[in-house]
Amino acid sequence: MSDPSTAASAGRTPNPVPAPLLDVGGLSTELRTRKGVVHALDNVGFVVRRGEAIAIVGESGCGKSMTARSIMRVLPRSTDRVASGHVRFAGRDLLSLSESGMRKVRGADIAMIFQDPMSYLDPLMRVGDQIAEVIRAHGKASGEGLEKAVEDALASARISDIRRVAGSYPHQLSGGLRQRALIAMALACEPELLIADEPTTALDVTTQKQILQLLRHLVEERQMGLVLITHDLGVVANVCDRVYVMYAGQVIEHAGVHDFFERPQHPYSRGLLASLKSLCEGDAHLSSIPGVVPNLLAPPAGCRFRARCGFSMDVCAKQDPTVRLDHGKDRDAGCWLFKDGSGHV
Amino acid sequence: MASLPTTPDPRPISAEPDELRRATPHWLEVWNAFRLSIVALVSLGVLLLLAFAAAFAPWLAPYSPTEVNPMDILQGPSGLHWWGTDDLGRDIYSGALYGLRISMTVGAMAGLVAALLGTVIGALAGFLGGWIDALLMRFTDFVLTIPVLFLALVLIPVFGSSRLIVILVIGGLAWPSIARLVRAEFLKLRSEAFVEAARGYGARRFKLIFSEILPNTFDLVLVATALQIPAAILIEAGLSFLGVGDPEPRSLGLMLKDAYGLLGLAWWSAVFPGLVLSALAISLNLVADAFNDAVRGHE
Amino acid sequence: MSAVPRIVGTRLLQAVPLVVATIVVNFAIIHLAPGDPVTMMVGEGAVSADQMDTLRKSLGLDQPLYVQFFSYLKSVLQGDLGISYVYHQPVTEIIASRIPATLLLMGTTYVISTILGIVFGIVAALRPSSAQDRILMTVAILGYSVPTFWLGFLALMVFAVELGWAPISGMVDSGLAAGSWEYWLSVLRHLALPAAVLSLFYTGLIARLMRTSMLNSLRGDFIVTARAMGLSRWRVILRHAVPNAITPIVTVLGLQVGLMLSGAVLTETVFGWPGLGVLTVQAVAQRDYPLLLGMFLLTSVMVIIANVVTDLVYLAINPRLRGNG
Repeated sequence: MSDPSTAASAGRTPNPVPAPLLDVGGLSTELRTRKGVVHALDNVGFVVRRGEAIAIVGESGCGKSMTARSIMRVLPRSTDRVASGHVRFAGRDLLSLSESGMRKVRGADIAMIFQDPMSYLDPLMRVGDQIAEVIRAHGKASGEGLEKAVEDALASARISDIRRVAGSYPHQLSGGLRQRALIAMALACEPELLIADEPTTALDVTTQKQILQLLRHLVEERQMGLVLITHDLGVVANVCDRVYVMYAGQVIEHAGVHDFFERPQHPYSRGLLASLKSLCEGDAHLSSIPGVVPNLLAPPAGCRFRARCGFSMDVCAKQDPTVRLDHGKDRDAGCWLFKDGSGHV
Repeated sequence: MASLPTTPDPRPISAEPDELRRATPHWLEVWNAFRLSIVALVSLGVLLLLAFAAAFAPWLAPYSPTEVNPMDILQGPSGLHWWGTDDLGRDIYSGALYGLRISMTVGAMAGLVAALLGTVIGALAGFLGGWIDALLMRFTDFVLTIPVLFLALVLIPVFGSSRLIVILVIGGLAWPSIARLVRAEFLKLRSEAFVEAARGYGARRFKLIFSEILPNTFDLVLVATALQIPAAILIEAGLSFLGVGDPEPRSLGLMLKDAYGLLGLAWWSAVFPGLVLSALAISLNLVADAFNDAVRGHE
Repeated sequence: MSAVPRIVGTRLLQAVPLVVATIVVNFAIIHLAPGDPVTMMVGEGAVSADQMDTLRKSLGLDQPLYVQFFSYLKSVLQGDLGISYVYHQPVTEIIASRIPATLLLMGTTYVISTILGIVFGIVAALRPSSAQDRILMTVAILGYSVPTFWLGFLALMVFAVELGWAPISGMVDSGLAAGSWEYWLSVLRHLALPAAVLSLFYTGLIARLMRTSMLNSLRGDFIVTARAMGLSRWRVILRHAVPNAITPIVTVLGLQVGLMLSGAVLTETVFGWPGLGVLTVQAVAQRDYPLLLGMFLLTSVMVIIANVVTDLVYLAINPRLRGNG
């Protein structure tokens, strides 16, 4: 496995923190379409430790969700594939597991929740039955213990009206309850890592806050790892410890949440934060960085943000700065401003 | 931390054209998608061959399709009569060529009727919306439940059996799927930017329909109609087989009806006209299907 | 779930105006079709002037139109559809005697083609654009492109005339005691070919439909959830994808009950199956208008009932329609 980060960090002091729960590196995913191969992910890397929440942020289409689905190996189509990289979870490389081995990981060790709980729950099945199905699939409980396990799961998602929710079809529940039901399903087998793909986007502000509190609580109480995928930087500030910014299928910057909001490095991150500030002041919407994300059928050489960047230099057109990004460091940015170019960092 | 200018210089780049353009397929694109399928190409070849045969039937047919020849009854296939003769000595090959003409004409005419009705009803429902839409769609659903051949069987004797009536009944009941499509497309396009823009310029409603929306539904209507034509042809053949419908000129269904009377006596009288009819329906269905996939860019 | 009885009630109520409309149309066909209804009903010069007068009176044609309509409506609602000119029996009785045969043929076909169509559709959709998909779908298109009556005809030529494996026509050999096992065996032997031929057609149609629906269902977000929760591939398919694929096509499957009449007419004719189809064709050939109009009314009502039943089945399997109970 050629991991660019290994080479880059070889000369530095080894990371003092214990081995991470999830270590993703060099992850590249290809989607085969009629028009050709879309390079949805390119050299994506990040780490998650126990009891830590990280955020993966970026605009829609930047590969956030595809990252989650690559880790879980539940890509949209059978022709889509992870072309290279490693996904080490608690020491095991998930990409080398057999499909049945991977199935034991999904839902049990790593669970995932999604943006729109209405469409992500089976509309024809009662919520309780859907949760029971997951518990049974992983052999966590059966027979008489099953009902208790379902109730425990619902309780752990802080649902009070357990019986009613378990007996309801998804359409009979409010958006917040649906998301809690989905969280209950994810928690049913007590996973060590939870991947939450835009879990609060479809919810109103109050419910959003409650769900985020619940997630943070789970991270702290259960020492669970959390990967929160979002385009909402406000959510990041409230819940996460560290941030990874994605752009056009690549991780372009990562930092601790405080550093990130105080001193963003990559011009794209600065743009995101600037638009957030103007949003708070009420005069613009989030994606106010001009220009269009490059077409991932044929990604441009060099830096992918170059065409929208106010600081682009000659080197940006020639060499891809993200190649040298080190996801093991406390913070790093895939930008020539901070590398050899005019780098000051 | 490097000192950087506070606001990046906006430098928008143009989007890749394919990504932004509306999904109206270019005919070349459709053809390129279509020709990927060997089945589709072979079917198209068969269909063109059949169309050619139908168009030039008077030149290709060695005999009159209806000429009775008492000296040559129930002849098996031979050099003289390629597909044999029936109990009246009529040449099956010549009959099938002329029958093919009728089948294709009925299919095309019924398709035309269905396309017109479907487009008008779908456009009205989709553009006007409200209770008119609800009513028209309810009606559309109802028509969809009518067993066409059965209804035609019962009604045609009452109203007189001319081929025009057959076409009107078949086409008059084949429009619902087209109407639904046009309506859905209207609902979609109505909200789209280019119609909004036209409305902004004060374009009148009907002008909007004709100049902006209808041209955009054309390819879908064509495909939906193409999918209805083979069914229409089979219904006409079925009606002729049952003895309803115009006996003049003689159609493939009628030839099969006569052949049924010769069960066990002259296999060729049943096999060849049936093969022609099947080949027509199969190739039409396969072409329509591939065409549909190509236009919709499926999978 | 108090919403359910209300929805059921609404559906049933909505069917009533349709039934009335059908009766009106039927009445209109008798009276608005070109020519004198009596002439139309018996044919020009087919019967003597005396008989024409008797008929006119019996139909109440000397009465005003609205009176005629209400007396017609009354007799229809009492199950009186007139007397057949050919059989000289009440139309209702003739039709009723033919219903079992058609029900047997259509029912068998319906069960076979629904099951096979759904299975083939699923198998094709599981691997889109694969060889299994292309072959199944091409065969499905062949199935509904080849004219059923011609295929039946060929089947008769091969299996009945040449090989002698199947009977040429009818529903049962004569002389067998009704209800004995020889009787049912004979019925089965007679049923095999027509049911197989008709099933091929509808299996093709349903397989196409099911494939499309299954592809949609497999693209659903809940499938991602099921996979991400570690359910086995077959559990994802059978427990989540298939039910969600079948639900939207239940309506269309219900429609097939009515639409199958068209196929049954042709198949019954080819195989001499003594059902409603053959009866209708004979009535057309003999211009037996009371019988024809009776058939029209009966089949319309049948289609309406099939629609209502379909709606109710849809309601039963789709919890989303049942409101927030």
